[in-house]
Amino acid sequence: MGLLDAATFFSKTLIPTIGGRATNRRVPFTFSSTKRLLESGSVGTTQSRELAKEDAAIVLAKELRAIEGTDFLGSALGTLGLSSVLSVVPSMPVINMAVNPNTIRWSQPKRYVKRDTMNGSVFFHFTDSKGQNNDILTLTFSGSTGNINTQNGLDNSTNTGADVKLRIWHELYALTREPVLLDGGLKNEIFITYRTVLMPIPITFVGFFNQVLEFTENAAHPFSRDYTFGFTVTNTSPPLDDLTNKLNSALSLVGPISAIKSVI
Amino acid sequence: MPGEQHPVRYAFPAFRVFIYGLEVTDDVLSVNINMHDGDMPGQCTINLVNELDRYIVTTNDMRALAAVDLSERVIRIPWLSQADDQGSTDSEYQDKKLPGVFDPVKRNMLTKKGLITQDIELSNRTDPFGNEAASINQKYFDRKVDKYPISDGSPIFHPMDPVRVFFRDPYNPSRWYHMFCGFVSDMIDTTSENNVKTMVITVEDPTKLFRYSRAFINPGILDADKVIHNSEIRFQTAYQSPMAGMSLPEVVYTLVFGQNAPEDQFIQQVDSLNGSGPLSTRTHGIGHFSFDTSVIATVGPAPPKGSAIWDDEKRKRDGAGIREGSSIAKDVIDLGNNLAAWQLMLDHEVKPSDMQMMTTEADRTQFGSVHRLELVKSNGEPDIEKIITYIGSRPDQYPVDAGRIMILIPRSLGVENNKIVIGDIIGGYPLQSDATTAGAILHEILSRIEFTMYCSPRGDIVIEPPLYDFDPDIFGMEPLDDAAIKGLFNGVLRHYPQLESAATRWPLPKDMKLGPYGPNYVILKRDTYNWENAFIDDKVHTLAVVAPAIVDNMEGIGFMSLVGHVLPVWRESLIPLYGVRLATPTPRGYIYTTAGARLYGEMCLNRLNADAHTFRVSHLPNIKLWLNRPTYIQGRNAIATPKSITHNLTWGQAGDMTTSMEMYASRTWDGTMSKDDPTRPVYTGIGGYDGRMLDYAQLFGIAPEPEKKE
Repeated sequence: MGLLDAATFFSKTLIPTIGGRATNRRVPFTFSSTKRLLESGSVGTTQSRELAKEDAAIVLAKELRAIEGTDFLGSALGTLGLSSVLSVVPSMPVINMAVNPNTIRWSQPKRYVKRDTMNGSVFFHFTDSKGQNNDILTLTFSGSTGNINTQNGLDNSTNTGADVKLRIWHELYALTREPVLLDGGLKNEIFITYRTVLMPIPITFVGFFNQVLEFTENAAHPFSRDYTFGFTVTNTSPPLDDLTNKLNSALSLVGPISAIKSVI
Repeated sequence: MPGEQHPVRYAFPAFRVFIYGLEVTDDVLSVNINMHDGDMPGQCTINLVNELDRYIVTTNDMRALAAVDLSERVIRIPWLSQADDQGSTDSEYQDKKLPGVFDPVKRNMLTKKGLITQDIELSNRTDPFGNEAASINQKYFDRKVDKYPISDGSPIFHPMDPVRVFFRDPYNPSRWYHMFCGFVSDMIDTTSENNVKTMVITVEDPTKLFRYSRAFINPGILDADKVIHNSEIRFQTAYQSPMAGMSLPEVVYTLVFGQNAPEDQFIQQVDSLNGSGPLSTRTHGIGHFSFDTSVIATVGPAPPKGSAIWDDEKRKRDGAGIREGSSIAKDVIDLGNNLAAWQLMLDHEVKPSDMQMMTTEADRTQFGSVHRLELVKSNGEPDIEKIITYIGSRPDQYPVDAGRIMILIPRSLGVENNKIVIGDIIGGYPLQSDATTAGAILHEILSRIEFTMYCSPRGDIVIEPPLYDFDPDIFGMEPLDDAAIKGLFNGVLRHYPQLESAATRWPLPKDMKLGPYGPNYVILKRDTYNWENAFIDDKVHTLAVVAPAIVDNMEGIGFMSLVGHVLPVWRESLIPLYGVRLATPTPRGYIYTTAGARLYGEMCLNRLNADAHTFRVSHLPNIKLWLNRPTYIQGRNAIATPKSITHNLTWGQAGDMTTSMEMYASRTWDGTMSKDDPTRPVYTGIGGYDGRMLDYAQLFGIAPEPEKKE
């Protein structure tokens, strides 16, 4: 994704809510996979085997373009055409979260080992080609479905978006259960687009789920359910090492601190 | 402050591994390297992750290679029911036309290897009943054989694939070292119940070739032509030893290089993943070792003139190694006492000059400015990592068996001294051929004179006398800058123009110095994990008896006095404590002079007593350690010599890197100080200086003279 200009830096956080007219600063997380993109025709050709023969880096670049190039902010969820959301499709190519996860924990250990000698200690750092000893980044998402009470009739569920939220949760559950290997030896990679107040530069994480979505049915919350799942990141777009530079460039265009305060 | 009492350091290990020119570094879980000076080759074990069967040929891959189109043909395995045979009868599977080999690494490797075929001669083939092959079996034979058999479930690597391993200096990350080179030997592919796939590859160093190079001594009259392949070494000699009358360098060079005459060579096609090319190969030699860059060097002072072990009649000129006029004539470099120069020649750090020194003789002058441009950084400095990539990925240009033969001989033993090696009786002419191997011949000869042979990490075959009598500082305590190296080229290395030419054309990076090598052989306490110091009483011997006589089956005769005089060699200083403990060395050849017998007895006692006091040390990684180098162990204030060195590097969050050594010939300090330098302790072996009459440091005149005790 390119840098955002000053005028639109935070404006793209404004989208209509479901059924309402008020604006709300929320960017939906999106989840997708290579399998869903292939089935929807968003990437590759009808000859998916041709795609599989390409270099893995080229395949990934195509998939990222398909995800990052789409303006999800103006997507069906934003316009709230119900029929477009509930159109008969086997699965959503891209899952737009109606209710974003409420907790995301980032964890990235370092690769080093301590060995004691007779008179001292040595730390062995296992570095990559850039000299970094960072291990794999793991994200742990926790969230709630929101109101999924579809028992009160269509009008009510339309207003609360319960049908959509229910369906999105099931799509997410199915996504975490997808195979990691597709026909022809193609890896099925998972894509998560991520944008928060802390991370205003949109990031696409590429990786795999390290557990199927975990949830508990609890009578104390009869019409919503909490869930959690873990995600192991194998790649990001843009690279995490470039985030600071991009953010600094974008912030330098926004203006004085007072202007920023109003949108935090 | 805790930091002062408990020093903390950082280490940054790394490795690079190439198999058949393919870099597999990213898939390597661990590397274990063992170098030793025994009969068997050094070994390296590489543990690879085999994700998605990247290194194993699958059924799908075989279909693609065999061009089996399942829309036209069904594969049915007769002993599988349809329910069990999910692969070939599944309709979805059948709908697929020709699949591809999807993994690009696997695809490149199989494409390259699949094209290499060899013609075989069918005209003299017979079936088991003696009929010509044209009978019932002909329909099964093919005139062309795939050099690299590829089948479902087999690895994409094959035995004898060349392998190179490089390690980074963990304390100086800009420096890289050759750590191992050799041939793939064993491969084990493992899949767990959770589909975790790994592969273990065992690699042996180029001395493996010695084990398989047959040498026939007095091939039988009746079957020689039928049994002996025209590439095998064949000796027709009146002596039982095939090397009668030859010096040590001549023995080695004859076995390794054969005749070296142009008509005794042929052109062999050599392939790797990234290239192919012709390689000149000696018909009766071993491997493709490099003759022009091999070195015979002498060290130490000459023996007194007229000494019985220095045979003036056999020398053609002072310092001559190989007879002038011989097809394998070679000059000898005299190093004086400069073992630092010897180590400089052997050193295994990756240097720009490796581009020239490690390639084949035919290619040695070809690497000009084009290649240099590819291998430099933007500031014009040589890029060591690119050099590693080039050498590792082109085993067709840098064969792993194209190393040098490096022989170091004390001048006092005489380069052409063959009194120890031979001395034999006239053998009969056998009617059937008995084969031995070049490796067996070499080890037999070297063990008699207590020399050691090993393969260096660069792939050089190194033959040296035991160096356990020296102290580590003899290998130099100062780094060698350009001036020092130039001095060496003008001095002792002037007979080695290839090294100077390579160093001139491929200069070192600006901040890189060579050496010093002495500090590499010091194990400080702060670097040590643990040690084990053992004294084995049973190994101590105080008397060796050698019989310099020419009698057949001497061992079977009960009374040695009947076979002529015997020569006892004593360790008088050990007898008061240990008593008379007899070693009965039985030379496999025969010694025919008293001087030779005495020398042989001294060597035997040295060898046996060296195993009495041993060390095992495990410590921080030290990839600069070297076999047969006196190494100081600070924890016990002793000097011992490694017989075996093992480096282990396991990658990742649970990773580790260690070096361990098994050492022998320990020398300790008994309180004696040097007379010339009263601050320098004198380290001696069992029985002190009195316990060893053959001491190479004394022979060189550099052993510190002890202050006499009052």
